[in-house]
Amino acid sequence: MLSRELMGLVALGVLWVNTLLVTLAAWGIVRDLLRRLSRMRALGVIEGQAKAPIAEHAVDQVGRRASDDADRKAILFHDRRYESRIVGGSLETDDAVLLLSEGENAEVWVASHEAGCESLEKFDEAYAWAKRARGFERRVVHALAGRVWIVGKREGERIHAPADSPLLVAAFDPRDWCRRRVALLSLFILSVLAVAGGITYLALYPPIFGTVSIVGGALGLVFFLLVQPAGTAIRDAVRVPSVAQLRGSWVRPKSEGQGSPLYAE
Amino acid sequence: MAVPPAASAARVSADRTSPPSTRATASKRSWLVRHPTEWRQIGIVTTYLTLLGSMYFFEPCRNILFFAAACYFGFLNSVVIHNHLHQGIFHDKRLNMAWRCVLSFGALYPASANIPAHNLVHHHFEDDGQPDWAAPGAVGFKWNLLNLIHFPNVAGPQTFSGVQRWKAVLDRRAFSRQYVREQVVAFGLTLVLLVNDFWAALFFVVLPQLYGARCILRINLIQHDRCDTSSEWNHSRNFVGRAFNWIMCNNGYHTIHHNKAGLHWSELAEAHERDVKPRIHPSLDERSMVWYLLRTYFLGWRRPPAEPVADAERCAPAADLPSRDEQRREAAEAAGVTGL
Repeated sequence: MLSRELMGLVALGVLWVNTLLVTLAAWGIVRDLLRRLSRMRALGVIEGQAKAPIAEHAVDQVGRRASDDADRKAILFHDRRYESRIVGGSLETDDAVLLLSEGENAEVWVASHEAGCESLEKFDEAYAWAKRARGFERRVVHALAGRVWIVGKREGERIHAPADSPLLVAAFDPRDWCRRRVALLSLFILSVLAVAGGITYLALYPPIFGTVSIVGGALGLVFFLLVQPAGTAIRDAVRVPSVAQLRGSWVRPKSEGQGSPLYAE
Repeated sequence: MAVPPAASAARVSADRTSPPSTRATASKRSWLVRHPTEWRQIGIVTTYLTLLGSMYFFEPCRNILFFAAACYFGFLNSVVIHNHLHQGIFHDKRLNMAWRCVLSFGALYPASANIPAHNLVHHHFEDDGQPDWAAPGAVGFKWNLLNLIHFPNVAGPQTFSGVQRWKAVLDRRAFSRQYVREQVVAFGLTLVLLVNDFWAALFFVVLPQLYGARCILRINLIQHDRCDTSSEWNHSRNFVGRAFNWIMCNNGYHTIHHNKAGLHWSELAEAHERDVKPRIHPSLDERSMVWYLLRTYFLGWRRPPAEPVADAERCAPAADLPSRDEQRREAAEAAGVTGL
């Protein structure tokens, strides 16, 4: 006979094993980010000004007609591929002009992409493709110029990719980005453990299997189902910018200048 | 075929490979089911629901034997979902849709999720430029056992968010309506049971449901980890034990299932011997899944290194089958959809 007490322990065991695995996976990302930070400390971060684009980040997307656009027209985009590329050029720092070679193994971090639709004509053309099985294919490219941060190996006036990692070219300070993500993930880990602890407390509240205990059990089930998507959501939210999801949509206003603007989110 | 257009995508190539005589004979044999072997699948689901009902309503049935059997049959219920979403069990379309609802309750997830997640995305691996939502690379713990336990925590959410994105585009309203119906039945009935007797429902209904659903996700890791998913024949691991495949409705023959997705499951063993065995690396033809699991996840600590398994098909004779690219093109044309 499987008693309630035994099955309760099994259920709590499942909940905790699962919770710990989700937090352990998040901790794995923290560890990767800390490794990146330590590499940045070892190699140094070079900050400078690029007068012309020195790197590009591209996202290949497919747009398809939204299924709920009966009274509007909308295209939803899905990412297919991310590409980082050094186009070459020079970077002016406080003490030197440094050169980057085209085609270096690179990781390009951009803050955002200009992925909106330029005109109604462009939208209508894209929408016709988006209704077909193949979809509307596009490549969103962001060229990196202006203030730039680079993590790489400096040899005289040249910067190269280190042997064990790609050359990092960013539109913002990558150390701050990493630190903020570490903080976010740490908060996630602590919150998940705290919620699991609270639910365990409620589930074991005397009399066990009484009303409060049932509330704890119900919350435990909900938590078990939600902590998994929360784990993948936080993983996606802290993806390094070179492979961060762009996705987004275009919505057609009734006419140019009226209604909601064309946008990408 | 009563499966909606989207579901037919992954079986296009196989319909022409099923001998017409077999299909005709099967049709003559039963007015209800398409193939006489489907009764095995109906029996599996009936047994599973009986086990759940027995434990929920009768205290003497709440023992380790019933519970373990319910968990195992919960997994088999998900195997039936897989087969049913490739080829509907019944002749009648409405009955097939209703059966999906029954199966959804058994697994606590909408069975129709298999159409985009399995038939359209997983069957093509990364051919569409999109990662497979249940790719083995989703987990990366050094201790391999943790990968097996954790895999559903990643593959599950990726699958369901992928399905949400998939049904948000093009004209997939019929799919969406069926998806909602299945959710209402699966979650609604489970909720009713929880409200009526919370602990009995949680322990003896929900736990087996979740076990089954999570195990079918784990199968993706077991069948594809360290295989070469870019190859024509060495993308999957097969488990070929006869008893195992009887109860698993031949789901151990995974390579041929990928390559001929519409071949009825009862015909997979023969096709595996004929088409797959000469072209796959011997390490991908496992006799016993239990021994494989023990060896890979319990007796070893680390994930074993990948072998160049695809070498096996380079020196094998060419098969008279369309390539993956051709199959994908055919499937997309037939269904009017691609990937996402």
